[in-house]
Amino acid sequence: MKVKLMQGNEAVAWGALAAGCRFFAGYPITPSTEIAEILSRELPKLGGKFIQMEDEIASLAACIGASVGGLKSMTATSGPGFSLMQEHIGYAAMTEIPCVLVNVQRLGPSTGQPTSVSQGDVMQARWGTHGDHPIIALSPISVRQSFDLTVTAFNFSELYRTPVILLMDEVIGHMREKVELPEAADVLRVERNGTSVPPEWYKPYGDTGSDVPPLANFGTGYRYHVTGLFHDQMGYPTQRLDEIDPWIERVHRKIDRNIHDITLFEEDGTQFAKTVVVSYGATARSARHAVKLARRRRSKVGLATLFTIWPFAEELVSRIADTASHIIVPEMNRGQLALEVERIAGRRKVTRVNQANGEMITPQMILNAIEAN
Amino acid sequence: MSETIAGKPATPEGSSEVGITAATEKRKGPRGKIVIFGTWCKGCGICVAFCPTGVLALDADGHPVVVAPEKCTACHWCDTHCPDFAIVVQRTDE
Amino acid sequence: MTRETHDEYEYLRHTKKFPNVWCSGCGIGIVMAALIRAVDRMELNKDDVAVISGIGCTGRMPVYLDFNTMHTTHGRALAFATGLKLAQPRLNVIVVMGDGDALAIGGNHFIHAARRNIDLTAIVVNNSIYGMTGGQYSPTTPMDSLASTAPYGNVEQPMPICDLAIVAGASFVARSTVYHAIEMDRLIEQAIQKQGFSLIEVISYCHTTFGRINKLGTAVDMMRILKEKSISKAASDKLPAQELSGKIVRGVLCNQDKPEFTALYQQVIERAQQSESNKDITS
Repeated sequence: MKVKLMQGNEAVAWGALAAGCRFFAGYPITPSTEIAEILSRELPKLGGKFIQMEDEIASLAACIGASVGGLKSMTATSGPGFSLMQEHIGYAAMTEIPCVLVNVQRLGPSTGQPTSVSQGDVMQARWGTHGDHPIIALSPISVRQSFDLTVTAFNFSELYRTPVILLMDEVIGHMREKVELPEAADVLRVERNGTSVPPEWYKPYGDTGSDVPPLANFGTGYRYHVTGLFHDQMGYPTQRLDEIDPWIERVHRKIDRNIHDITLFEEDGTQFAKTVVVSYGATARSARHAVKLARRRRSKVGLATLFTIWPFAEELVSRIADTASHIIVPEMNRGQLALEVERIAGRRKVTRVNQANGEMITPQMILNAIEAN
Repeated sequence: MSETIAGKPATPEGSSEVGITAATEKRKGPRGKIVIFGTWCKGCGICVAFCPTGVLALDADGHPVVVAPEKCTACHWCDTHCPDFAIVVQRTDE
Repeated sequence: MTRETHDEYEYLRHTKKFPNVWCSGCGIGIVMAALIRAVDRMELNKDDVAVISGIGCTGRMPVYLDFNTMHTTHGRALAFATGLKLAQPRLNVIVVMGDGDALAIGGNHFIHAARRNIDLTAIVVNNSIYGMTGGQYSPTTPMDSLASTAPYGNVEQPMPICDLAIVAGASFVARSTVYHAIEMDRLIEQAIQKQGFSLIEVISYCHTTFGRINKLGTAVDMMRILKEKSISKAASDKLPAQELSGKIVRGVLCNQDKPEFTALYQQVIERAQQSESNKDITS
């Protein structure tokens, strides 16, 4: 693809198509609507299916149904719609059906300010749905990365048989940057790991040792049962602890044992810095600039940029906390990821730079925190 | 001992009142054999209550037993209305 | 023919525990048997059949069936089914729901599935109560009936399920009862064959909750009530409206040929691909 000036949301749409997405079901909501509009135009050209469902609840349901039918599926929404989708995030986690959900975060709570930015859904992405469940959430910091992390989101969802949330924010979603996107053929895609045992032997939730059971698509000769109830290896509802306990362990282990592959981040000068800024999403842009300014003034400050929000990069932050005496966490909320940093950082000083009114956190605000030492 | 042609009762002289009971009386033996899967039966009594010819009755435990096998016309009411797939009528007259 | 060769058992999952989970005498098992007979008569390949359910007693049906089965969330089965059908239009997708699941929490999805006229077969088992949770009133509970959350009598008008489906745009709408199981499987067969959104409302009963609280007796007693209250569509057409009050009208209530959603979307794909190839030619 040639060099283009492209919007973040548009890059998400192209990333989805490059990853092999052939089904989108969604409901219009600012500031995510462009993703739906672009895919409504592009998906049928590739023989894919687009449908505007009657609400967000139905949108994620349709994605899960299409996924079981063999199509890589995605939906896109923002805060109010994300709240509505929580039940089905839990359903996808419980039934281990791959799907990608884009949440272009806007200012909340409630209707809030549809055209303003926030990072207010971080904890909701982790715990919005009821019950204990693992989740993967990724947050891009640029238009190019919006493309790349969308591809990663699809790959993770197939690799680990889990719903994956792309935590965009309104600034990244609506900003335009110059990008040169790779051709779809050059993008690394993970295809669904179908099963290779005869149908009578197939166990949709059997443990093959990798903690991720192979997923056979409906209508391909493998007939099985999917339910949101606790189930055994055949997918049948069960109340037996000797089936429930192993399931709980396996579903959490499938993420935990792969945490190194899943937690994506970038470090810059964190190794011996006494002060480190840990940031993500649009705020990472301000953080990058603040760190640059600080270094010009001879501050020895490190920068860690998280691309994976959940599972939390515990090892990275723990390592930073070993040598840094001051960790700064800027976020456009009143301190959500900071709770995780504080948990890991122990007695190290953690400064929150917070703003949750729809305005971006400026480099100056972060610089003040760096220099307030 | 009139022979019947599939389903149609023969009409011997003098029998102008041919009704359902007459049809079954003309038949030699039942049209169907009943099989009951006791482990699946929950004793709801639907088959017993609605059998048109009274083939079934409830035993002391409230489960169906065949008491008049010769009356079975293989109408299949019981095995299409059993919620538990616990009763099956096998046609025997072919 | 099914009843002679007892192929019904071939459609039940041999690895699933029986007897089934429903109360003794519940009509849901009768609906399941009718569904199997319809599929068997049509000689459908099991791999080509999907059964999707919501939450409630009716929602417990798919697990027993040797098809592609999904037990989804309360009220949303039609939305899951829409996604599956779009992904694999050749599948025969059957959606089984109770009255509360389909019309209360699921009301919106019910309306839109009918509006889209998407080729799904919806079977709503209507026992006028929320049975699984212990007998609360539902959108189809008759006025003045008692329920655990209507201890002084229900004061909400019951929802006319079939009328709603017809007005919303369904191609095929029919009603039966669990007493009329033999007629029911013919209707189910017609519904599956129909290209478009088909709805079968099956009137059943819950003697365990609704029957007990309203003193209607046993499953056998309530089955008898269905027999007495129902009337065929043909017969009802000959009666004046006032004589139909309290009667259950059985039969096909609507059967029209209209464009079906997945077929229409296939045309969208062709248009999109055509305009794309036109662009390539001209650029």
